[in-house]
Amino acid sequence: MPHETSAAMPEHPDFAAYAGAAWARLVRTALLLTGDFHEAEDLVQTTLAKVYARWGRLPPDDVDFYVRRSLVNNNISRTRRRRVTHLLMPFLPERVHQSDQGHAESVESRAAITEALGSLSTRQRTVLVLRYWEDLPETAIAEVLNCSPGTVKTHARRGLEALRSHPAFAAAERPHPLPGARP
Amino acid sequence: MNHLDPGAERDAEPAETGRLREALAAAAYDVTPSRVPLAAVERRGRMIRRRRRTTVLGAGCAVLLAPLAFVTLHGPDDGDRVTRPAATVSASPAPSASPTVSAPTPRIVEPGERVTAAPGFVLWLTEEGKHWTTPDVPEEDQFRSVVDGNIDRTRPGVSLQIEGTDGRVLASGVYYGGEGTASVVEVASEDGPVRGKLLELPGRPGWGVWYAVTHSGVEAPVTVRDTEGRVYATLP
Repeated sequence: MPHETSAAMPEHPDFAAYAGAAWARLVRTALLLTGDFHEAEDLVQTTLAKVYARWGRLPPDDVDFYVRRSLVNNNISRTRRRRVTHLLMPFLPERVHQSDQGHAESVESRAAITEALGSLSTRQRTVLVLRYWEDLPETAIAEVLNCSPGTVKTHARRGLEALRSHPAFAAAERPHPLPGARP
Repeated sequence: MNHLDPGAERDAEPAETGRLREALAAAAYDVTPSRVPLAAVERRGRMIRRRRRTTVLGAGCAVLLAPLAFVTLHGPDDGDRVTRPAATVSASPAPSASPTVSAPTPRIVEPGERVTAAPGFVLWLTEEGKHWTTPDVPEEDQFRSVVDGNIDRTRPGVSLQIEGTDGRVLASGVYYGGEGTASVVEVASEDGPVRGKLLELPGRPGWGVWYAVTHSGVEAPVTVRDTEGRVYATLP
């Protein structure tokens, strides 16, 4: 892909290295925040472009924090303004194809968790993703969201309650271990 | 109330959060991110930097708050406009059932055939997916794959990408998986519903590209309807 070659002058080679290393992880986080792969890539691209614009002024030790907060804030603003929305499908569609049972289960599990996360408020969803995917402690999440740890706890508790009662999430939990899970 | 170690917090978690971790990991690893589009990111970053320096139309707040750097909300200019229904038209009206008027169908394009939606906003399709360029970075083609396994084309879906430049908002996306033949697409905007256009490769590949060019902010829902007026796919 011509647009993916870095031959065109990394004005900030450190940024290139950082972006290359962080891209996949950020896209996966963004996918959980948005529920849509293309939206996720767009969100990360937007975030990294903003980071690039400030790259020379970011303290090196704070880059991860700044990027994560920028990603989260861009997503919250995006949701608030409804420039784009996140779910590919608002419901679990009937299975059309079952030629590959493993793949079908994987897709169904992903659709289920996507649907369940879609039922949460943006902040609840963000807290759960940061807590249980990014593995951040509550204090760090509070810094990212610029709120108190108590607020983070509240969002997490309510988010978990909502997930617990969501039929799609419950259904996805029941039948089989989810493929691709990290150890 | 101190939480110094996420591992310590995890020890105190109920079992259900362990399942949530697994579910999130499964969903996250179910996709394969493309390589980082570094050149495009850097060019957009430079564009943002220039805009900050030159503050136009008092848009400083918008630059700071806008969820997408690509969406600019300048006033209308003399650019190309897509046909807009009246602002009071409700979203997604069912097409007329008149038997004398055949429903539109997608424009069939050859792989690699360039379609200029607006000056500098060019789209083309290949068997691998949707390609496009924008006026800001015309030499950098962007790409969304339909074959990398990240979308399930057996189920209806439609995506939305929004970019903006010089007062135009460029909206586009991929649609796929619906029944029947896609016919029309409509996307919401600040000025009411906007009807876009559809492109497909020959041979009914089961997916296509939609696009619309407006002068106001675009937002979901995006609804693709088939030639019978039924919903082919929607992004709510």
